[in-house]
Amino acid sequence: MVIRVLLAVVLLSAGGTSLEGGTQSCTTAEQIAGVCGNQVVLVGEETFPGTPRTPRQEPVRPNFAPRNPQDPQCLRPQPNRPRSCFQVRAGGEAAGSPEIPTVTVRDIATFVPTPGRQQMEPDGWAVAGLDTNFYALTDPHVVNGTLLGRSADVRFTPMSYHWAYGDGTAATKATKGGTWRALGIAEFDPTPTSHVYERLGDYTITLSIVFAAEYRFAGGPWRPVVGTITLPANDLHLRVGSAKTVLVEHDCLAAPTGPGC
Amino acid sequence: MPTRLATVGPMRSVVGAVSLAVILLLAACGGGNAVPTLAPTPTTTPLFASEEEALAAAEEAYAAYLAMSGLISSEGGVEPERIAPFVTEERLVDELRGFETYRALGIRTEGNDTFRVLEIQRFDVAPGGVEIAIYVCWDASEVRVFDQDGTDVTPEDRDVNDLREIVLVAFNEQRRLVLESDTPWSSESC
Repeated sequence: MVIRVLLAVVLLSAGGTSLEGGTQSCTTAEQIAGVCGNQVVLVGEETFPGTPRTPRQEPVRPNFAPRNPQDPQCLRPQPNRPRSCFQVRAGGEAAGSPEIPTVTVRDIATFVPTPGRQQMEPDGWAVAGLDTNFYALTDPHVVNGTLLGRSADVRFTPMSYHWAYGDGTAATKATKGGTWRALGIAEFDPTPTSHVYERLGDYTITLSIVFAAEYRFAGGPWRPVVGTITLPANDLHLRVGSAKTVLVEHDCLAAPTGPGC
Repeated sequence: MPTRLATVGPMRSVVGAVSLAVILLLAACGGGNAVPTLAPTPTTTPLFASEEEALAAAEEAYAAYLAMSGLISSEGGVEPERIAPFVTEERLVDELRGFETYRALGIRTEGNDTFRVLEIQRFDVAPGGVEIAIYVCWDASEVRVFDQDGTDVTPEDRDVNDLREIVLVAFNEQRRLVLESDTPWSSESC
């Protein structure tokens, strides 16, 4: 089988390694050769052996959660996120077309996402050395309002969850977690969002949820909002105790005040 | 408590079995009336049992992509279609363009790039597929570029050691992760 392939001449553009503002992705091979962003001009053609590529039947892309256009340090919740997290970046789809405005989180300040909540298992207490399961209750949701003078919808999607466990440790998770029952595992088993307290005491657990946002006008396509919004959830309080097993003479359920119960 | 739960299970089964028997008996006595049955619910096996499993699969898929990209690059961009099994259809367009550049310039590479996964950024399961985004430190500083005469033409100002967001997707029909995008984060270095 012989296919005809156009011969390309590449015009090197100066310093063309930036991806922002372009619609093409720079591939690994281009990055290595330092030829990102080159303009390819077709000036001729040649023939050589090869196998024609048959188009793959790629399935329809599932409706994944929206992309966060920000850099990682903006995605990660932290107390002093750089100001650039809230500033419009040059380039991209929005900057290049006048009819698609670039919208930042500052523009949607009047759209307030519903704060998430957190719960824990066991409820209000924990056993030192065993996993305590924390999980968030939040889902993507749409808020209506006015944006740039027009009626608009803003969709908030929880992206990451930052737990401060009150014992000096904290963790950022990509999942909101779930109950042991929902996860199909036994009580006190580790979960993606569980935490082990080593010391006895009383602790307050705080959760911050980072939301990405998208907007749309009049049922049009969803477009990303630049920036993320971090909202605190409710605080949880728990007491960490110790557990030990003792053998008693009678059934403690039947006689809770019995010796040893 | 576990003991209690353990005893409830079989009892429920017994109750369920008795109920089922009664229903079947009633149906049999009903003079041939058809018993309405529920259509079987289609079930899909999750692609990955856990986030850790997904992360491992993502790492493996990205490594496979880099290996094939490196092989084609080292051969001057010939038979670029070999990259197709490792990328999405949309990404394939970019890949083919990149290797076409190699052929047009008559360049090839020597050496291997490496990466290490920093963390998983996103693991999203939707009906029809899975999307995973990971942060990696990618380093291709050991990869050199040579022209047809064997002269080292490696650009000095290339960005080949940086933090990247790698997005991989798997569709239920394919059940395999492929590269969708590969974006450098210029604000952070490795």
